[in-house]
This record gives sequence, structure tokens and C-alpha cells, in this order.
Amino acid sequence: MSSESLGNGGVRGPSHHAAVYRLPDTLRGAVPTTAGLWTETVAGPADGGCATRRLADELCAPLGAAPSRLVLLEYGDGARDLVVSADPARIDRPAMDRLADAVLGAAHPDATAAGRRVPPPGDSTVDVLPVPLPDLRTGAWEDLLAATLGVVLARTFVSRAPVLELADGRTVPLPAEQDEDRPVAAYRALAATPVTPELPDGPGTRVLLLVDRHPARAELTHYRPPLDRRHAVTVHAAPDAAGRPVLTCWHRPGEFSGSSARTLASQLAQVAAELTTSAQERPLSEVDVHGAAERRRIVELGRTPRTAVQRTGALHEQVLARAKATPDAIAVVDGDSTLSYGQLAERAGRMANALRALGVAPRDRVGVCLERTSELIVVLLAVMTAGAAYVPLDPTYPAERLAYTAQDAALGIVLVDSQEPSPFDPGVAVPLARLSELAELQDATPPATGVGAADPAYVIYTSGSTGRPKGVVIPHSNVPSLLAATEDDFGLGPSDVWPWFHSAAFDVSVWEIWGCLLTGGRVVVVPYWTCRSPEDFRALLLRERVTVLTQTPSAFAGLFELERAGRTPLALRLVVFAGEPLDTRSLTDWFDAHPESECRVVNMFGITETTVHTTAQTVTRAEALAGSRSVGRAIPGWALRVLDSRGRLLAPGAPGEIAVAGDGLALHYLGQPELTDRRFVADPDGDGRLYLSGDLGVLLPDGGLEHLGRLDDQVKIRGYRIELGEVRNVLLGHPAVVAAAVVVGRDQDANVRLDAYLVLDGAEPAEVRRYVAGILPEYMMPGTVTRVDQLPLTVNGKLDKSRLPAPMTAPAQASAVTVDAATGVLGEVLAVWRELFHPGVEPEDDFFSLGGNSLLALRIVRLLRERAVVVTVRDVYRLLTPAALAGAATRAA
Amino acid sequence: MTGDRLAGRVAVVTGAGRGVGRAIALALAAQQAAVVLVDIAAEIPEVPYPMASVSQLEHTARLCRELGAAALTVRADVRSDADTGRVAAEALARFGRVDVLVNNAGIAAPSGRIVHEVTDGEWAVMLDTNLTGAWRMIKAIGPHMVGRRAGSIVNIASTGGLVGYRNFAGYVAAKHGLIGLTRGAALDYAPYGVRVNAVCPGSVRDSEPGEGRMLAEIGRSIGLDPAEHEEAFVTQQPTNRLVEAEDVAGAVVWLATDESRSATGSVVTVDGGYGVR
Repeated sequence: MSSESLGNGGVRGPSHHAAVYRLPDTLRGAVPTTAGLWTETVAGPADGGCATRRLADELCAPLGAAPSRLVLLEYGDGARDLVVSADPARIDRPAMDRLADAVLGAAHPDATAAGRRVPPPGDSTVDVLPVPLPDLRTGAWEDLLAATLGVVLARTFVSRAPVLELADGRTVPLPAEQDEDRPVAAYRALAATPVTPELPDGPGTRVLLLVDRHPARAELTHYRPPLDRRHAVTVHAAPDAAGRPVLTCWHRPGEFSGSSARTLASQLAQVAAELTTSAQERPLSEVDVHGAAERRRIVELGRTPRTAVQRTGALHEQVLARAKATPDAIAVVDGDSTLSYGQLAERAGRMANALRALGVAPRDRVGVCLERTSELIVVLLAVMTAGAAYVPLDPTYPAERLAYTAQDAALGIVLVDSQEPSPFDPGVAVPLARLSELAELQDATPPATGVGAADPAYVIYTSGSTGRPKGVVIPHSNVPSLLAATEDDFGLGPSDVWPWFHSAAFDVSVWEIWGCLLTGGRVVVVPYWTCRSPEDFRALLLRERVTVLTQTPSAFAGLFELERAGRTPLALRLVVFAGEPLDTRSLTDWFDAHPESECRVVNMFGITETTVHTTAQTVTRAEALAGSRSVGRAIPGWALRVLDSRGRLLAPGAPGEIAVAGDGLALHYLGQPELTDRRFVADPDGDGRLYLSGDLGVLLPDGGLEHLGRLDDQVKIRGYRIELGEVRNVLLGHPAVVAAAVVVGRDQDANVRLDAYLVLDGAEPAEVRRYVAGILPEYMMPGTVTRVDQLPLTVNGKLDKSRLPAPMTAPAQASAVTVDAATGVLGEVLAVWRELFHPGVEPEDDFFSLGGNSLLALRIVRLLRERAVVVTVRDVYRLLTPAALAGAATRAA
Repeated sequence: MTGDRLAGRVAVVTGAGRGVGRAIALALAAQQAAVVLVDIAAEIPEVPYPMASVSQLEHTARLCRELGAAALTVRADVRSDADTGRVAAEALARFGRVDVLVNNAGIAAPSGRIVHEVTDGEWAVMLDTNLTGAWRMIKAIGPHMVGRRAGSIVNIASTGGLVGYRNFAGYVAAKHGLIGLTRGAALDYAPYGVRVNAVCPGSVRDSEPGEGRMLAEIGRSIGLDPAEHEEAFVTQQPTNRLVEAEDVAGAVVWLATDESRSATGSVVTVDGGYGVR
């Protein structure tokens, strides 16, 4: 089987078909002179590059007015190919053979060409193993292929809403979720009963299965089936001279990429074999679409080997070792005060002993609820030095949330601010002043704890989008592993200055604080209020000559605005984006001011459960101009997979749940063994554990990951599966859209719809709406578009959905149209709709909700034309309501 | 289009950061020429829109390298003798020869005013960049070409070098002058095997990957809405479409190769038929 790109440019309807016959060596000398035979000499041998190109050109060259064309290609090595192109409506495949006979001679059954293979034309050609199939003369063959395609499309390409069509226009049912639990035989029977589709030109990727039962003669080396623009992929099956089926997969590169076609081709071979050789009674879900070798390849593709950097021992031990090596180097800057590595270690040592005196034992958990100061870093280091794990609590969080965390983590002690009233039980709250007093009496030598790299270092609570916050327990070894993965690549070292911008309760702070201190850099404490003011923050970056900046894209946007004004240059050499999807397209202006050669930009996707970062993608102008959505490959020591809803490995290109393996995995969720078992599972393709992230993504052919948002961001509206991230991305494509958010809402009838929120610069929401209508299918169109001054952010710098305003439900222009409802264009439109649907149709009724289809759309257009109102079918699909349609209609002259 | 029509040759392209310059650089690189990419990559106070950035210039280089070509970037201002001299020196230090010089650097604005209202400063920057800049580059690289008895110089003029445009007197004067420079230099250099030709692009579409912005700036100078300027220009085109930067680059590639060895002092118009009406 082979796979090729379609070469049928702009032709509508089925194209010509063409066949290549290799002239047997026995047929030497001149061929019979036939009227209309074109002969051409091709430089080089028949298996050379020039011959391959010429053959591809001939196969794809459209037919003129004549029903057929015969071209004889004579290669430099004496081999000859006859290319017959014909109109399929008038000349079918056997008729082509007869045309060829005029050149080949009527019969030469012992032709020697049978064993030779002409390389199939086209650059994107892929050869895969021949598919062993049963007896071709029975009806089962076509059904088997239909079932095979059905399984592959449903497993790997379901996100493209595939439609599997046969030559007669009927469609083959794809296996539904419940079919996966039924026997293989049951689905084969289902696939053998194609149905007539309700909407002949509905949405989705159309795949055509063409089965040709005419056995090919030995000389036929290649056949190009008639191709139709409506089909993204055409799978052609025909028996060869020996009676074995040969499958060819033709695809339109714009709609179905070469790598997708290769995946399809390899999976067809695998599944066809599984469907015929396996027990027909086992559940369909057990059919493996990959095969062992392909499975290994996919697993390796998502894995990045560790670097040579070795970092052993507990997190705090490595910071203390740094202090021993360079005690006078500055570790922390907080306003006007500084702390050297030596001072940091000494104070943490005393405080650790004080904590022990307060009863803290190794492997305990200690709550830390303090303002962002250099003192907090001392305390965090002290907690670990005492052998305990720190549980950060942000004092700006609501008291209720703090109380919940303290209780859930069963904190026996919480260090709190001495001045502020404590939200905690007086029994557990220990004011910092008291700890400091106690520490002064203590020795600076760190206590012996017996705590090692596998013990917990910190517990960070993540809110998740549903349910209560859960404590993620991260062991000591993970953070040094994170640095081992990145420090060489990013060139992190003692000359770096890192701002500590993010709350200690958000795990990006782990990267900021410990990433800096493990590599000998200088941490600059950013006070809470400075984080909220881009002006002040920029002043701090400038004053402290910050070199390594980590930001969420939302928070960065404010800083970026200031950069446009072009002020004193910053000393930044590395910007790391984390915590949120990054729209790379917005970065070209940044690069204009900060060339990539001076400041590297890295987009990192991460999950608290896999220790801050999971992937890294350096972003340059090329990625920004391409609007790249790749978050890059797994960082060294980490590994990525993408799984389907049943936890089965998905091929590159197929969207599913992101799973992570490797050095960054958390130990468990605190006090939640069941949840831990559900999300941290044994890795079926490795020797460790696999974390199921609940994030949606797709592994790219280069091993990079595209992050598509949360799985729960995947919504179904009117049966269509929609990724909110995809809709957002399209909105951001409009030049006037500065920021965008898409959430799921409900209209007054409780129907699910999409609500879009936009920060706009120089355009009205209606204009953006028109723009996205030109790109998104109707079912993905936001039901409302609301303009906001800025997107509300949580303390962690992520979108705060709860603070979004109520959506603007009544678009201004629609209500303006409604005013003259009885008369004018809207009157005409309503009259037509009422005639076609029912007399109660209102101006805001939805075309599809009323039961609209392509036929009805055509009739609307025609009936309106009769009333001298001009609209297009596309208008009907795009605008959906009589009111909107009337707004876009023009009066015929 | 890729090939090896310029294999072993070295081409200097000014204004290579984006737009037509980027397209020319890529087309030359696609024919396996080594490219020296020159751009000011800094703002000019009198010009009301941003010049290309270092990042854009480096991106052009990266795209050229992806085509298998060697690329050297040089930040230089064609209004400065010191800078153009440095371009020649760096090109020769790196590649040892220069076969092709494409004088593409140019500005569209300050424009949009009736001729007597143009200020001295505006007039000076327009002529200095669009006309004198090309002469300075020829001054810097011409002697080397004459010494080798080979070379092709391509000046990117404009339909504004053939016809007038209202409220663009400075631009039109500079581009007419550039065609004059082309003809004069062609005669001077003809005995030495160095050819000098001009290409006159018409309305070139600003493409997203090319990051061009000339057409938008011309449109802005005459008060066209940025959202609609393309349409306004298209209506002027007999072909009903704008010229692509790659179309201009195709003409440059031809003039750069020996395929055009008998063309010197010529003006190749790539304007979709705009000028024939």
C-alpha cells in the first residue's frame, strides 16, 4: 500500500483516472503505432528521480476534451511505461486495459514485469507492508476494509469528525463508544450495512473508500483513481495480478497531512490484520491500532533522555552546599536589604533547630502563611532543614480556603505573620516573631533528620477546575531533577538575577526560588503590590538588572505594553512563560524590541503534579509568525504520551489526554489514595508511573506537544465536540483582539452556548464576530461576544472565570433589525422561513435548531431571490437567524 | 522556486529585514547564492513608521539558511559612508567576493503632502535613503566588481520611477533619480562586465510571513483605512490583484544570473500592468 498527495488542483467533481503499464522487456523495438499515442523520452533510468517526477506529472495531468489520452514514456535505461488517462464516466478500468492492449499487444500472460515495482510517484509517497486479506472474490473483502477504516478513523482521527463514504454515496457507520465493548464481529456486521446520510454535504473530513474488483494485469504498476475535491482522503483497493489486494491512500495535503496519511496507512495494515486474524468474539476495544514496533516508536518520540548533569541529595542540602562553597555571594535581595548564601544557611539552620524545639519531627508538614519577604525564603529553607515538608499558604487567600488547607493537610503548626490577625486556630498558629526569638537561642548547625531525596519537600494545593483543592506532595529529588534538565540549556548560573514574582502557594515560585538558589543566582523579592503594577515591576527589573524572568502570559501582557513605549533597555536574557497557554503571535513586537540573540524566550507547559515544568519550546520569530502552538518536547528526564478516553496510546497527531512519566512525578495527593490511584497509574509502556493530567493535547510528529486546554474545556454543543482553546485561538487571530477568553454558558432556555470575552484595540465585537464566522464552523461560533477592558486574573495570574461579567446577549445590530420586524427585508426573510419551517418562526430562531439542512438553505436562497432579496447559502450557515440574515441581505436591482 | 542558478555566487541585499527585501534574499538563497543581509534595523526619526528590527533581519537569515544558503547579517545605514564601507568589508572578509548587489533599502514616507509643504528634513531623508543610499552602496562595492570584471547590480526602483504619484514628490523624484543612476552607472560599468539594471515594482502586497508594510504605509500616507487599503490598490490593477514580493524577487533573480548577460541599463517593470494604461 502506498500513500500520495492528490494532484487534482482546482477541478470540481471526480477527476480523470490514470493507469501506468510497464511495457514488458519481451516487447522490444517499436510499439504499434496507435492514433493519439504521445511518446516522450525521459532522461535517466526508470527508477531515477527524473522518471519519478515525470510519471507523477503524467498521472496528475488533467484530461483535455478527449475521453482518453495515451502517453508512452521512454526512459534512459530502455524501460518504458504507458500512461493511460481516461474519463471514468466513459472509460472504466477494464476499458483502460483494452486501450492499453493496443500498445501492449492483446495477450502476453508471462510478462516479466510482475516482480518489478515502479516507485509510485509523488514526494510524499510512503510504502507500507502489503495487507494480507482473505479471498477477494467474496463480498467480505469490501466489508472488512470498511470496518478497518471505521476502526482507524474512530480511534485516531475522530477529532476531525470523519465521514467514511463509499462510491455510491452511502456512509459506513463508525464504531461508537458502546461498540468498543462489543465483539469485533458485531462491528464488522455494522460496518457491512452502510446508510444513506441525512445531510449529503455535512461537516467533517470525508474519506472515500473505492473498491475495484477487476484483477490488475501484471503490467499495471500504478493506478490513480478518480479523485474528488470533497474527499480529503481516498483509499483505493484493487487486487493485483496475483490476486492480492493493494491499497493506495490518496490525500489532500492541505486537509490531511503527509504524517497523518502515514499514520492512517500503517494503522490500516495493522487493524486489517487484527480484524481478520484475532478472535471475532473479543471486544473491539482490544484491537491494537499500532503494533509493537510503532508503539515503541511513539513512546520514544515523547521521551527526552536525561542530561549529563547529576544532582543528588535533598533540595535544602544542595542549597546549603552552595552556601558552603560561596558564603559571601548574595542569595536574596528584598528592597534595600540583602542576604548572603552564608547568612541564609545560618539563619535557616537556627530556625530549623527552633522548629525542632517546637516539636516538628522529620517528615512532618509545616504550614507557612507569610508575606512575601526574604524572611519567607529563610523559613521555607528552615522547614526543609528541619526534615519537614513546607505547605505554603498565601495570606491573601480567603480565610475559609486557608482553614480548609490547614485542616486537609492536618497541619500541626502554621507559621504566621506576627502583626496580622491569624485566620488559624491559636493552637497551631505560631507567630514568626516567636520562632525568630526561639531561633536566636539555637545552634546554626542543621539538625540530623535522616530525610532523603525521596521524602516530601513541599505540598502545594491546586484548585483544579472542579472539586476541592488537593495537596500535591512533591519529593526532594524532583526540583534538583528539574534543574538538571534545564540549567545547561538555559545557561543558569551565579550571574543570574531572578525575580520571585509568584505566590509561594503557586508552584512557579518553586522554580523561581529554588531554581535560582540551586544555581547560585540572586533572588529578588517582588512585593505583592509591585506584582500588580507593571510600571513598578518594570522599575524593579531595571533597578536589579534582572536576567531571568518567569511570567504567565496574562501577567506579561502588562509589562509588554510598557515595552512598546521603548524605554531604557532591560537586562533580561531569558523569559520563561509558564502557567497558561501562550499566544506566540503576540511576540513579534517583543522580538522587535528584544532580539532573540539578546533575550531567549521559552514557553514551558507544566503541571503542579509533574513539578512546575514538563516541556520547553524556545520561541523565535519563526514560531511567532507561524502562530506555533507547540509547547515543545518533554524536558530531559520527563516523558509525554497522549491517551484516548480508555487510556490507550494515541498516535502523533491525534488529540487526547496528556500523560506524563519520568523524573517530575509527585508522590501522591495528600490524604486521597483513591484519587492518587486514578491519576497516577502504572505505566503500561515503561517501568514507572504515569500521571494522567486531565489536560488535552496532541503529540506532534517531531515529539513536541500541542496543549489544547483542559479536558473539561472540551464541550459538546448540539453533539459537536468543541475545544474552547481552539475557538480562543481563532479569536486571537483577529489583529484587533488583544486578549480573549471563551467560556461555556447557557442561554435563557438553558441551552449550552459559548461566551466569548474580548479585550479589543480598534474594532467592535461585531467585526470580530464576522471575522470568526469566516473561519469557524457554525457550531463553534460563540453565541455571545462581550467586550471587556481587561480579563480578570486570579492571584496566580490565570484567568478568573468567576469575575467575568454577564455576557452581552442581545447584539445591538440584531435588536435594531427587530424594530422593523413586520416590514422590509426582515419581513421577507421571515415570510420565507415561516413558509419552510413553521408559522411561528421568530427573528432570533436558529436555522439548525429549526431543523435546517443544506437543501433548506438552498431553498431559502432561492425563495428570497424570487422576492428580490439576495443572500448566499454561506450567509444562511454563517448568520443562522432571520434577523442576522436580513442584516446581511441586499436588495436585487 | 529552488535551483542552483546562483551556486557559488555571493549577493548583498539591502533592506533585507522584511518585505520585498526578505523575498529577494530568499529567492537568491533558494538558488544557492550566499547572502549578505543588510538592514538599518533601527528607527529613523523622520520616518513615521517603524523600520525593520534586528529580530526580523535575523529571521530572514534563518530562513535563508533553512534553504541551504550561507547568510551573514550586517546592520548598516545606507545613508552613511562608514556603514556602506563596512558592508563591503564584511562581505569580502566573509565570502571573498560579491557577485550581486541588490539596492532594495528604501522608505515610503514621510509622504502624503503637496510638494511645497514637504520640509527640508523630509526631502533630505527621502533622497538620502532612496537615491543616494544606492549610490553609496555602488561606491562601496562597485570597485570590487570592476576589479573582477564581473557583477550584477539591481536597483529596486518603483512605478514611482516611471510615472508620478500625487503628494509623493520626494519619493517620485528619488525613484526617477534611481533609474537615472541605473542608466548612468550601466554605461560607466559596461566595459568592465558589470551590469546595472532597475526593477520597478508596482503595488506589492504586504504578506504576513514577509512582514512587509510598505503598501500599508503608502496607503496611510494618502489617508486610506488600513483595513481597506488593499482593496483600493487592487482596483488600480489591470490584473485585479496585487503584485507579490516573490514576483519582484523573480525578476531580481533573473537579473542576478548570467541568463540576463545582455541586459544592462534596463528597467524591468513588475506592476501587474499598472503602468501601461
